[in-house]
Formats: sequence, C-alpha cells, structure tokens
Amino acid sequence: MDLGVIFSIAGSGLEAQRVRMDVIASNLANAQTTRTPEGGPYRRRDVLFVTTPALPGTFQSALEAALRQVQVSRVVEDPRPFPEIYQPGHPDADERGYVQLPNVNILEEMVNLMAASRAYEANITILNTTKAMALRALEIGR
Amino acid sequence: MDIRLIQGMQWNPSSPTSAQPPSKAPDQGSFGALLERVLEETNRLQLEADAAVERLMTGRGENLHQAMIALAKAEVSLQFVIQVRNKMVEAYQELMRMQI
Repeated sequence: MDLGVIFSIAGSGLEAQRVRMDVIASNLANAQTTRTPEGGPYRRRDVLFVTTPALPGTFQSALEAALRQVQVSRVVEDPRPFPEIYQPGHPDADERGYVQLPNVNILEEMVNLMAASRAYEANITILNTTKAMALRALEIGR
Repeated sequence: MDIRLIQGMQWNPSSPTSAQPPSKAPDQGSFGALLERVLEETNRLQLEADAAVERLMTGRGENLHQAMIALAKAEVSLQFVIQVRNKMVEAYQELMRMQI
C-alpha cells in the first residue's frame, strides 16, 4: 500500500512531538525543584530532532531518497545560568543566603507546549486528509 | 453404452482430498495470485491493528496515535478489498446477462 510511507512519516512526527511534550511536562513539573540527585537545582531540558530516511535502502529513486522521517536524537540540558534569589532561611541556601532556582521559564514552556500541540494536530491533519483521499479514490467508477 | 468406459474412472483412495484445496494453484502474475496477495496483505493489516489495540489496552508499549494509524491502514485496505469484490460481482452479473 502506498499509504504506508505517508502514515509512517506522519506517525514519526506525532511520536517526536509527543516526546517533546513529555520533556515540556518534565520542565513544568520541576520548575521549582531546587534539589536533584546529582546536586544543584533542576536544569531545563530540551529535545533535538534529527531526520532519518523514510524509505531505507540503497537503491532508491530520487524522490524516495528525499523523503525523511523525524526522530528525537537526544535530550539536551539548557546551559543557561540558574537564577538566584535571596532567601537565607531556605534549606538549600548557600553561605551567602542565595538559593539557585531552575532555569525554567514558565512562559517559554507554555509557548513551546502550544507549538508542540499545533505540530501534533498538523500531523494528524495529514493523516486524516490522506485517508480521506484514499477512500475517495475507491469511489472511482462507482 | 460400453461398460468399459466406466472402468476408466478409478477411485484412488490414497490421494489426499480433505486437507488440500482444489489443486489449481494460480500461476504467478494471474489475477488469482494478485487477489491472494491483496487478501494476505489485508489480513496482515487487520491482525496488526488488533495487536496494536491490545497492546494499547493492556498497558504501555503502544502509543495512541500508532494504534489509530494501524486501524486506519486496516480500514482502507478492507474498503479496497470490498470494492474489488463489488467490481467482480458486477462483472459477473454483466456476463450472465448476455444473451446466448
């Protein structure tokens, strides 16, 4: 079935956006976490997307070689510095009285969440449109 | 009617009759072979959709969108087979309507 290529490409997009939303949820849940097992506050995480060939194989036409799926290559940590607030009574305060908070910006995460959600819906639109086209094609000659 | 003609038709009890379909294996490239392949592919997609839904229902290991994609593929494939059947029945009826 020639639908398989479109379905797998869009399916990979859905999977990538879902992983991205997992990471965003992790960021939002840990936006106030000042203590982690590896020491220090929670560092914001992000995903990196990479393309993979949609039709693996060596003998491909030019079109087949150009089709690409998406995949999450790895989850990276944000290297931006931690914001500090002055709170001497906090159990995690250092000797100057400052507490380091996670470098998670709630507004930035919400915007990323909306972008991921829209990308997810866009991939679903591709799937629905493709399936509708296929079912209409079956009506040829009816 | 010569009774020796009837002796030509022998019943061979050793030939396996039950577990084999009529031995008209369609040659490659004929319409029967094509239809068989399409039916096998449809069956495979249906089983895959069933397995995907089962994995989704019994716990992690399947995403919701992967299960829905498998269901959509199975549905399109089944609709295609139904249309092929419709066309074949229509062609048969057309032939039957021909006056001798």
